[in-house]
Amino acid sequence: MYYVKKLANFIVLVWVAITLNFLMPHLMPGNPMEALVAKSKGLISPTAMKALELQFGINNKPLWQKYFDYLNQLIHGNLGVSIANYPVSVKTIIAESLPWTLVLVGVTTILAFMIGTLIGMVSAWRRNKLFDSIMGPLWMFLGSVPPFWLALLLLYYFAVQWGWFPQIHAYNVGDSPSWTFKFIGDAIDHAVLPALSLLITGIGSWMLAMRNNMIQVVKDDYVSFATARGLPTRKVMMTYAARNAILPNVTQFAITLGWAVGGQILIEQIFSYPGIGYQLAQAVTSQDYPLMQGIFLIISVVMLAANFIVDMLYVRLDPRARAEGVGV
Amino acid sequence: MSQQPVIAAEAASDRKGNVAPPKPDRFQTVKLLLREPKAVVGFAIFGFFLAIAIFAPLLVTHDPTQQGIGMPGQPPSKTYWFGTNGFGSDVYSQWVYGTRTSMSIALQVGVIGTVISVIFGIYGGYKGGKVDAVLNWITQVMLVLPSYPLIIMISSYVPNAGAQMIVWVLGLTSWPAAARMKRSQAMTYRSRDFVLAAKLGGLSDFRIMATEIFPNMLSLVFNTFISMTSWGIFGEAFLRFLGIGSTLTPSWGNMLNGAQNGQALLQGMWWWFIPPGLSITLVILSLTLINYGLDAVSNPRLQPPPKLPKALRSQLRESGGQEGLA
Repeated sequence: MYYVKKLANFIVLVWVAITLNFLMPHLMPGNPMEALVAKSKGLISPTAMKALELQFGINNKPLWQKYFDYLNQLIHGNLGVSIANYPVSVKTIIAESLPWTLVLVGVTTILAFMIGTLIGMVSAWRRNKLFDSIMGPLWMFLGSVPPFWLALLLLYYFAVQWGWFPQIHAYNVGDSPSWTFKFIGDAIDHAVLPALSLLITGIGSWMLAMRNNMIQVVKDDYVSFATARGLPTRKVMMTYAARNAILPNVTQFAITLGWAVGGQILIEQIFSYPGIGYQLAQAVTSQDYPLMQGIFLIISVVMLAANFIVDMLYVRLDPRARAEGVGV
Repeated sequence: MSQQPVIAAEAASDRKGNVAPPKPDRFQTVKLLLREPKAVVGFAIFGFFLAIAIFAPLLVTHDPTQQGIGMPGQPPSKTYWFGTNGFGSDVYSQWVYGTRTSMSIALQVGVIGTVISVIFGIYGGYKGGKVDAVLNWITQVMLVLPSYPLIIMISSYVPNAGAQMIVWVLGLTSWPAAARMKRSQAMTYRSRDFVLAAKLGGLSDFRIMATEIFPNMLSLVFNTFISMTSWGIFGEAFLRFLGIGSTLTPSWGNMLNGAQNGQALLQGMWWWFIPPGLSITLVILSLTLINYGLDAVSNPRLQPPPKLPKALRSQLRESGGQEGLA
């Protein structure tokens, strides 16, 4: 029942994302799409023009009919053509850039979650001891640093000044992606600075949240009881207290994954890292609405999927959710 | 059924007897907050930037918008306290006025986000039923839509968006998580005695929400305001750095955008991008500190454990003969 409900919820949310994506340009004052299409007239081929008009419903059809046209295009996997990179299709651009982002953001978010949770756990367990009084303020400060600003600093010192790491892109310009050791090593080398900017600024919130949860859980009777039974401290901390303290963070993790996929936009732009955020930033600068719309849709769907998967995993962690349907 | 007179009697005594107690209680939170070192540091930092924002016209040394005041790219000196940027504008004066713009945007975002989250959370949580189902569904949808791409999309459809546009885009996307928190808290109040008493006393739903439930959620509301303000500070910088919105008004985001476009980094003009970035960091840090201070005094479960059980626990641990991490 729980799974069916979650699946239905997921499908409805995807539909909402698609509909919103369709409605947004139509509801904006002064219809930016029409202005754009008018501007591109004569600059692009008539066929592309036709495709653009179809995609954005620049015609006199009623709104609901435009909506069905849009859905029809989507079902056929057609996200339109990028204006700035004409005639490359939006789908191609997304397919090329999404993997870079998923790996970069996925790895850093999971690392930040694990490191932050671990530090938070130990901090709460040794509340007000030396470890806690150093880690708390330190990560609180680092968590307040805007990631893109830190990225600028890292880029300046580690890449421009000292030349330890490459300045831009995800691999050596001129190489083409392949599964050789040389290329992978090269890609990791390029990913270090963007990943560090996300990691350093991302750990703080996990650490503070985990510390707070843990402090509350530690007072629960079953933890006292486990201690009273004479179980090793490490075991009480890990399997009794932390296991329950981590639950709210798991739900938050899904939401953060989505935030992260969008939030690294500036990082990718600063490092010219060819991920989806970089493409979105480019699309904004060049007013490439088809690309923007396509990217927004993909990010939404990725985020919803991440939420859905975490919801599924959550039941395994917290059996109460299965019975009550909480932890939405 | 037989409980009704009792509840009514309680309500009556509430009216008479409780006039004094709630007041000291509320001041107590404030007093405790002012004794919490984290919160005090937070208030001090935030107050500093607020003062700069308010007295900006008195603090500037040059016209912040004028270019070519001095030679471009000068390091900090007696005339140009934070140096000049790549266009020869005075960075200090830009920073002062930037503080004003960014702080005012952030506070407005805070107000908008808080108001929406209070309406959605308290109304939905208290009312329950269909109203709640609809409001909660909207909240859930907003919660899972990717915020950053969403604000980029919306703002990029509006050409030359001014500060007001940024305020609304950020304000309208900020509230869902906070609304969800308020909803779950409001739901626990729905069946509490004092709310039932007020209901039986014939108060309207609005009165109950405004006078019975809202005051009990003040610390959560304040917490939301702080978080939303923090989001406003960051969001402004985020959007402006991307080049969305007017780039003419001095703001922290615009300074960073200018520094990036003017290749401040490559030319080593650290004085151009350090002040705005550090200011954003410090304001967000101050708000985080205030929130944690507030949490520490208002959440009883975060209080340090009482002495005796702790002593007992360590005794038990020793008698268990186990040596561990703690």
